[in-house]
Amino acid sequence: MNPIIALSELRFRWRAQGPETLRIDALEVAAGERLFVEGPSGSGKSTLLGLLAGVNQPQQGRIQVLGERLDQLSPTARDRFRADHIGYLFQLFNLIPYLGILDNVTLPARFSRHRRARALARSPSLVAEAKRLLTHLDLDLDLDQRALARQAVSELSIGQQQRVAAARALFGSPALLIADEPTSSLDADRRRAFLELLFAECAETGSTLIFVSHDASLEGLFDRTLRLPELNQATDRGGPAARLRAAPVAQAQAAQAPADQAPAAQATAAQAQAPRASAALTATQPLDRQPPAP
Amino acid sequence: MAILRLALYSLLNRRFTALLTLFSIALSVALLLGVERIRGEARTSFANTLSGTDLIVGARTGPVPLMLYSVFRIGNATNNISWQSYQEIAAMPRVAWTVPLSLGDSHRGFPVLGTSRAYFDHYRYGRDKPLRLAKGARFADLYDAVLGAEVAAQLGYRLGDAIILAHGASDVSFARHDDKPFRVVGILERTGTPVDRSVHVSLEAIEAIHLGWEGGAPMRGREIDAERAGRMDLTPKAITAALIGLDSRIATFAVQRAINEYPQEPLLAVIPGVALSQLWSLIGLAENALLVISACVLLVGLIGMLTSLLIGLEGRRRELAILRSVGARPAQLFGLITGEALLLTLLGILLGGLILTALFRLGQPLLEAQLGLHLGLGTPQPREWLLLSALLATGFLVGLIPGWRAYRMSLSNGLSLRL
Repeated sequence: MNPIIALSELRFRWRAQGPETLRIDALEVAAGERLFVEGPSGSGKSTLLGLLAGVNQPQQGRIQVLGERLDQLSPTARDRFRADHIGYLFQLFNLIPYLGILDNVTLPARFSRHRRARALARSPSLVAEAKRLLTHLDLDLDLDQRALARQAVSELSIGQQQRVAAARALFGSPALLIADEPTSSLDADRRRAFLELLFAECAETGSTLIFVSHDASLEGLFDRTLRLPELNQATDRGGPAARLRAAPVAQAQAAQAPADQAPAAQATAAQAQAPRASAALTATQPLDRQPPAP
Repeated sequence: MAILRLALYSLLNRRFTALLTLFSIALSVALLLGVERIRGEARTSFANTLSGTDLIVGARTGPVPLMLYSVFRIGNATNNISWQSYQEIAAMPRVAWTVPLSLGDSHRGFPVLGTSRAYFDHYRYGRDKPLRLAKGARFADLYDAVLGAEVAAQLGYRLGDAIILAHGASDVSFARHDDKPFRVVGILERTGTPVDRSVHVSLEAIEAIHLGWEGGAPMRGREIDAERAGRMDLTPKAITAALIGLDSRIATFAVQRAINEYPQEPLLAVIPGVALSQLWSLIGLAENALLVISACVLLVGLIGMLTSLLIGLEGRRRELAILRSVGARPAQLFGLITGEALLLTLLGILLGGLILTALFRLGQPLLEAQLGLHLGLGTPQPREWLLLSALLATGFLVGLIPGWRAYRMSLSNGLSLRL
């Protein structure tokens, strides 16, 4: 079975003449995996997510998502691909202020017929699917449809807003869910509860989760951790290219899980597979630390 | 479709600033359209005042002043034509008809026109429309008067009422011809021309009321009562101007030259259309200045919209990133912002049109009474459509600026939000 994400020889810089922001020789993510991406600010997390989402385009290298070569698609085709297959969760202010809760949740269906069709396959209507997701995400709202449609998202608490955002990201069962520090504004208890809800929903739809955070305490909840400063050899952005190339490739030994659950264990990528139906802490291999560049 | 809906919701969300922007655009649209409409109507109304007349003859001045005072009752004649010259012109070959015009008196602010019965036969306005009596008949007796529609309406006159004419334009007691009251015998139908504001009497009546006024004021002891005046020779000695119809248009230039070179008296004959176009070139300058000013006001409105859109954009980076994340293309975000500008402009035009219609409806009676200007409230004229299209295009072009910024922003920022 093919990995859902396969990167190789990836090079990205924001400006043509600027320093390299991202340099990843190889990375693979298995379908259904829950991947924790860790790294401090400036380690290229957002850049990596932008590349995976098809918003940015690398200068070099392959990005394969769901078997599609994103690096070879036109910008419009990448936007379409994202609309169809990727759910995206931001850190904060995830919702469009002028749309009601239901309109926010069903937004992906406005941009993708596929997600619309998948939502309608699960529920009789878009609104019903939105309500189903909201209920699943334990959103304690009066689910009277009219009130829900009208209620301004700004009236919700931060935690509620993040759950509405999660419902939007999961709407129409995207194969890949990318979350960019969505829990950083929640307190520890709520953080864990939110993650468990997210895991459960991902498990139900079979979505792969890529979760970025600098909060290492969450790491244990995921199948595998990816330490971006080690994987990204361009962390010293702006430093001499020769030194960057000389740095060792970050590699982690994969703790092999049963083959049926770890379909894409590749030698080049750090892999740690665990049963993904559980939201409980699973075995995560610490990666070999790369000595920080001087 | 999704984007248009989003644009609408987004505008509704910012309804206060959006409404302000909308109003500033609407008001400037109303101003621009109003200037254009009044300009167009004024031209039409001028052009519609006289038709079927080939030449206007008066004492030698400029073509524009001659036409203004003889037809539009604007300004005063500096000189008259002698009755004898008028008779000779009337007798010229190719001259089919003549209508004498004698101006200078007034009735409660309305000009009095002394003329012949031929006036009612030959005066044409609009598209060759003759004058028609709404009530009564043409003047037959010496002291009969036929009122224009506006005069009758404003002063509340009915057939049989007695009116006193005043000497000159002022209406003061010592300058009234109150020894010779007139009787209203006819009221004309409304024409939308200065005819509506005129009191028509016969040339002989003008002569009669001025008997004993040779010095410009009544001479004591030489008063001549109305009845005695009627028995005197009332052949006029001079008239202000004359309208001339020819039996063939081809003869126009020949007759015009003959009159202009008339040896006994310095006269001027003008072709109404030519004089009108001279008038336009004169007025055109002021008109264009007015139009440029209203266009500037509109530009200010659009720049206001641009400012509010650009400021709004800063606060909408989040929103744009979210839309990007659910698959919106940069072009769609461009469309979202530009669409808002277009929507604002379109709504501004509609609202501006409504405001203008309301204003015209309210101001119509005043304009008609004061200026004799009739404003049509019908559908926009071709020129106005052109103006509106240009306006919409400008609104769109203005919207391209924030749209382009949003486009650039969504490309350079991607999904990362640098706030």
